[in-house]
Amino acid sequence: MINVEPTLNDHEVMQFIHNGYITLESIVDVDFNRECESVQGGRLNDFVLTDEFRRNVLLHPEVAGVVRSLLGDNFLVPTNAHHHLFEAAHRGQTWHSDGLTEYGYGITHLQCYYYPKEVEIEDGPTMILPGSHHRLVDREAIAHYGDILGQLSLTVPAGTVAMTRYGIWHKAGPKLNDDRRGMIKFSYFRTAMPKRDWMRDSDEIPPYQHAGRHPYVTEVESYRDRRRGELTWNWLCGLAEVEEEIPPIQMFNSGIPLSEIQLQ
Amino acid sequence: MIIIVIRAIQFSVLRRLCRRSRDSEIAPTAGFGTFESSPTRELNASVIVMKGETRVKSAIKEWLDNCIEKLKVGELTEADLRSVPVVLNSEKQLILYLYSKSTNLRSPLGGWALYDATAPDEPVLPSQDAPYASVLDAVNDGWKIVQFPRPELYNFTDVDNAYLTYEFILEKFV
Repeated sequence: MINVEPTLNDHEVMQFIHNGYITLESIVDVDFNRECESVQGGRLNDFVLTDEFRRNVLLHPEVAGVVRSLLGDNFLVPTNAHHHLFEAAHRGQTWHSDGLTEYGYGITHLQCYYYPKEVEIEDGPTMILPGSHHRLVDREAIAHYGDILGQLSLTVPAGTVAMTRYGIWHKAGPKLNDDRRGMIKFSYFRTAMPKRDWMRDSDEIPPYQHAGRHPYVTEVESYRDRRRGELTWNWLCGLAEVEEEIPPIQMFNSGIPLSEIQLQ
Repeated sequence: MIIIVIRAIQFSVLRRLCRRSRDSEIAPTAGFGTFESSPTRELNASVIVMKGETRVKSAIKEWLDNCIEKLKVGELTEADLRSVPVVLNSEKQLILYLYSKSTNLRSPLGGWALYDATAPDEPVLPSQDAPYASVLDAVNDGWKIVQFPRPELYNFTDVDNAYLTYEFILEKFV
């Protein structure tokens, strides 16, 4: 099996639990970014199966290292992707989370956004709401929301990969120009129960440290975030407090186990 | 008699104008669509921020100014007065959603969205500057609350968060 080393430590995993995302800026090779800039919009099922895409993006040591840290070994490597391509100016999308909810304390699905080209604020960057990944909502019932304190526009350099806990609220932000803005979206899935799969400084499991309150969150909501974070942390560490199985096959679930991939 | 009618209308109108005398500074954001893969313009409303001076000269004020001018030169007619309903009906409703950190109207805000059907259908950058410090601040600027959050409708568990709280809906006419 291709060897993938975890790259996150205890603190970084706690940060991911709290925020629901991590961004890896400018990690993809410049030439490969240029190649991806001209890819057509829509489904990219053949393109993501190429060794080139796997080597440069899906199994890039930094990307795969985060996946290995959060989803354990032998995770499912994406076998499909979608190129969200915008050119004409538009007002932006409404806040939403994708598909159906994948509710639970665990982290079993990472949804990733790869930007082959630099995204500036006028380009209609993806917007995310940190900490929203555990909020169980009807996506159509949050469509009237506007600006939210703490919302983040992913204005990023070319070659950036943003990795999110599935369920995070997001949308394409308002686009003021007619420039091409692309984002290739794909997902990794867990196949094994967690056992503190990231880098360890010691075998002693530190207690979960709540990182504080997101700007839009009320006081009681922050207490709940803290409690939920503890449960997620304990589950990821393989502690007995939370007994939650890996969910069965999900909608849009598609991937090949890491152990079955052989790069030429 | 005409003067009495004019004064009564003037008083009523001025009360309304005072309540919205600080509107303006339009900064629309957000808008339509659901999936990034299929951005349909299903929610064709603008989300804007308003605060400050009057952004649109009220149709009522314009009508009133016109009537006063006519009154001064003795040209005010019954037809002018009968046009009041037309002018009143020309006003447009603005809807403002405010997300308060508690049910207290003095609490700070965590989110907001303003829908103005009269605003141009153009993309506008997002903002992190709340239009008001609180719901009460908006009320002080002439907004009327049309829906209060009902605590019993909000989820209460020890772990799970869901929709943004607490949602106040306000309106104003321009």
